[in-house]
Amino acid sequence: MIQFQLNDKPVEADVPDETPLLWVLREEFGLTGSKFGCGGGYCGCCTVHLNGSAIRSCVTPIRAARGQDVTTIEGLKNGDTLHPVQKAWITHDVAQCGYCQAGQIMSAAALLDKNANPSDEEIDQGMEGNLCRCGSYHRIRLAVRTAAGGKV
Amino acid sequence: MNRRGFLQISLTAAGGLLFQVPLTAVANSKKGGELAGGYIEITPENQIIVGSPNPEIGQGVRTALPMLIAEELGVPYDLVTVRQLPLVYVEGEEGLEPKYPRQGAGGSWSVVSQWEPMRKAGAGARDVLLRAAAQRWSVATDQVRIDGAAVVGPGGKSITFAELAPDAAKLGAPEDVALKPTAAFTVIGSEAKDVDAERIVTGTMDYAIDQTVPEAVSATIIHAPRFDAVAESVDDSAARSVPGYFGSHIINVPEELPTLLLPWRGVAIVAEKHWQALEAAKKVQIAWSEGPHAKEDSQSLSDQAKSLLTSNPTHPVRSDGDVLKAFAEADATLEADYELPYVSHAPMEPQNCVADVRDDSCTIIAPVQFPTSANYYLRDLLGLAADQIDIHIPRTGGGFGRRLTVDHVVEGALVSKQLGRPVKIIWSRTDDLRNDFYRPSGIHRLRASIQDDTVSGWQYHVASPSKYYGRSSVEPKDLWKAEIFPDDFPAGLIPNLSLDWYEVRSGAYRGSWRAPASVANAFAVESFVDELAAKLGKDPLELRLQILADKEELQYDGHGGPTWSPARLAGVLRAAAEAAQWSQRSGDRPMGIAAHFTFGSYVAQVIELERHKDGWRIGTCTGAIDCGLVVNPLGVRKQMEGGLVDGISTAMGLEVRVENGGVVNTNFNDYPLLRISAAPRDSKVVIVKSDEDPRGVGEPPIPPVAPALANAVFAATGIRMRRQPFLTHYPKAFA
Repeated sequence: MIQFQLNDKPVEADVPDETPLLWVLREEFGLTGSKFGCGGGYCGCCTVHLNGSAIRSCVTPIRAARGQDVTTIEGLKNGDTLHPVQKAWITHDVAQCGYCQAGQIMSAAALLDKNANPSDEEIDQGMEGNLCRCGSYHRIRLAVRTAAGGKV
Repeated sequence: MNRRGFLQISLTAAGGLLFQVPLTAVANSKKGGELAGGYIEITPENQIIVGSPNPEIGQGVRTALPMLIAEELGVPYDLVTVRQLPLVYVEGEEGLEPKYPRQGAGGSWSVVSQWEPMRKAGAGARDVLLRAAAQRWSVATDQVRIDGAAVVGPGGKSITFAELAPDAAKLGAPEDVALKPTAAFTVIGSEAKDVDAERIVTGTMDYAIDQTVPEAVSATIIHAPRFDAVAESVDDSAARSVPGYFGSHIINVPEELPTLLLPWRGVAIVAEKHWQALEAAKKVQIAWSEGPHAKEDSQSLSDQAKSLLTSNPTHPVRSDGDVLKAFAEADATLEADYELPYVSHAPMEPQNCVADVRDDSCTIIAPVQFPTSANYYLRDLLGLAADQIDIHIPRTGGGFGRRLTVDHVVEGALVSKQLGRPVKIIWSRTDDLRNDFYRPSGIHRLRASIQDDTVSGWQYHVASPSKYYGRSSVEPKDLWKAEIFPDDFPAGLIPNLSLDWYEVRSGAYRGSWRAPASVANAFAVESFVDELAAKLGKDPLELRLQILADKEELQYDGHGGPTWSPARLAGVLRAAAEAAQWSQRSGDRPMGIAAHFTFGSYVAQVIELERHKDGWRIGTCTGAIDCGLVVNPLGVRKQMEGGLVDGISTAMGLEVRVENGGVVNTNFNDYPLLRISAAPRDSKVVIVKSDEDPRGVGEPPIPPVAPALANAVFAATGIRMRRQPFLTHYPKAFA
């Protein structure tokens, strides 16, 4: 039995230690906002926060979450208020198919949490682990800049 | 209920109002009537729900199509709630037929095909609501108008759509209705953000992979490692200790299935949860047959194409004038070969399918571009009638042509039938990359003759494995038709021209990859025009404009036809060049330009490189598009921006590698989609104003991208990149 904080609530999962966090989120807790894209940590569709840092949940065993704080896209907003990154994503209409966007947003939120005013190069570095097959990178950059500037 | 004309009007059980297509037996169908929704529903609470029939794959149709209805209905777009219309079969004149015609996503055709019917639905509804209000108030219809979700009349009196429901249902639809003139549009042409945006950013958008049905087990599929190999035996003894593991099953694939659906003979690893199936899959041993293509590899395919090009063409395609004479009399000639590898669609949502096959029904939830195609194949496979099969159309995590093929749906249904229970299959990324319908590889040989400083002759030879491989409906003599389009630029513009195709044989399955054939052919043709310009000492833009000669119209026998306009192609070239400051290009601001017509739309791309560290990187890119009248300019811009990145990503880094008769790529580590740091530093889009009917925007942006990039690199470095992927074959071009 593994106990951890999931989106600010204490939870427990009865799964083997090596089970990937992604599948625990999706199948044990029904949180399907974090997506399966590659299973190898290459695409970032499964990005969630572990103690505030962006991690690839598809290659993170659930044991790494024991006693820790996990935040998923479903837990990013504050009550009914969207996170500034989520608002900026809507402002710039970033999504095309939308499948990778939860992971993109989680990476952007973690980036801005650590660096409130990133340079263009730092934005690219912070978002480098997230692939977008539809090619929305231009709008991702715009949205991160907007969220950083607090203009949402 | 009134069944006249083009629109059927009825009351919903709740007392609302429903406008839908006029099929005679909708009310008798199992899923007809209001359950299936309609083009427009007014709820008793006066909410306006607009149906969008076509699958949303990221191209923006679920946002654009309802704009057509809102425009003619006369309501602001933000008053409208959009609902995905399901695939429903109803009794038609020739048996069961889809209730909503043209319910597909492919060929950049969604908005084009729904342009008139959806506007007419909106206009018909407006007409009925206006007449109902006028009748109630005993005034003429020119005394009433729509304001918000209500009709207002003389003295400012007002009545909601919902309150008009009973009167409107009695009145029925008009026989025909006038559509708004273009100049009166207020919704069409406005910028609409994606209707699912909030669901997407909060993680509540349900894709197929996020859904299931009660009692479903989970399965991952291990497919054959070589083309057309089959599983001979399975040893799962080591997997049996995995908790939740149920068993491994060689999928029973009926031999009579169309070849198009046959390739993925695999083994289903079944467990209670997906992570348990993944764990079990690591421990299952499968013995595979060698298969008939075990000697095939990427090099042998390339060698085969080269060898073919020295022989007589297997398929002559077009011959104008006298090419041989033009070459004999030429002042100079130029020849170049361009080569492309197989590439994979690799949508971010891997292939998956929820399937629940019963004796008398089948439920499918899957990413699909043509749900009717899935229904068609399942009917035969399962012995069911069209209306016994329920195919859901969730928002899809990318299409790019991959979901035109419904192999994953057939596979899910086969597994469910075999297990006798509902199942959810999810492919691994490795299986997704290795079991695709690839964009054909090929070598494109171009030759041109120059006389008196103009291009007098043109020879284009393409050697490729046809996209139409394995389709029983295509005659061998017609295999070229998917590979080379006889009326493409510069046909009709150069007096002596010949086009020929050579059939490369390969066991790899092929399919439609975003802008099929165009994406390969434009790379060759538009790179070659740039080479010709260099040889002639001309500005590559000027040479293109000279060849296009602003001709108004040429015949185009294919998608996007029946004609095309060289003048409109010249128009996007000029627009992109101006916005990119083409005339300011220099050694410090090197640029490449290219343009292409496909699916009825015209796109030019200008790519500028900028110095970065010791080499070059992609700087500002400027695209111009003429796609006729624009429904959603924001959607068009996003398709242009995304197509640009897709074109760069694919040309720069992507190659599906074949070894020993199978694909060997494993994941995004060795199939390296472009990452954000390599994306263009800026992306500008010019939409050329046009009042022509709207044309596609999902695919046209991409074909000119690779040649514009190659031409920019030539301008910067003198390196001519004729072989994709560029980073593999020209590692020094950007260094």
